[in-house]
Amino acid sequence: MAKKKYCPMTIEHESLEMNQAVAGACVYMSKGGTMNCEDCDDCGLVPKGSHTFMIFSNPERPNNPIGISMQNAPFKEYIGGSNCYDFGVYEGMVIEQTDSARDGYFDPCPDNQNPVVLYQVAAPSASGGGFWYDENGNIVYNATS
Amino acid sequence: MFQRNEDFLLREIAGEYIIIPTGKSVSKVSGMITLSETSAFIWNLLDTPRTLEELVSKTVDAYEVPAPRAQGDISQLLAKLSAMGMLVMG
Repeated sequence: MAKKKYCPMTIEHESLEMNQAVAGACVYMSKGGTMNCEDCDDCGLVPKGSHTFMIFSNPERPNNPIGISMQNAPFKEYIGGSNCYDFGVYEGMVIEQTDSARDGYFDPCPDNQNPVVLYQVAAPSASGGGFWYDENGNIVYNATS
Repeated sequence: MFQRNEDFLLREIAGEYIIIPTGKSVSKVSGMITLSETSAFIWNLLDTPRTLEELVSKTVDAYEVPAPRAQGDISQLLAKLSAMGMLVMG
């Protein structure tokens, strides 16, 4: 097998500020952030009550954040499309969690009890629809069909 | 022997290798950790205890890099990972 081209072994750690509201967490959207959930379904990946959720943005598409949710197996990946801006995603927003994949969307809610799981994938050409992917990149639900 | 801390999970997102701290590690390492492809290669090898020599050997087998450079780079990477609490000593 041909060898691959070598690249420098780099590791970059970017510290991010994280604010925690009383019943949820603020997530800084400009670069990303982590949020600890106090109300976590035990996914087996992290201890119950210690739920890591990360969301970060692609600088080339500031209105299209990429989010990773650690809630529930399988591990879901969110890639925001054009609908992200319409959903009101913004820096420092408080988000709310839902348990239903069909209901996954950004919903500013200052009194949330369940931090939001952002796992709707909006296709660039979709208008209101979207796809949900599993951790292997397979489409598990197609909202546009 | 070197081995990764299983509290840190590697995910490939949009072509980037992102490490996510989970569990208790979140309180120690917050933010975003990004690896290059070769760093991610080493990280994946650390799922089991490895010696530096093993890591160098596998890197040289997979990449076009002379062993002395690979050893130096891997040593530096391991030092950084250890400083961040991302390794456990096997």
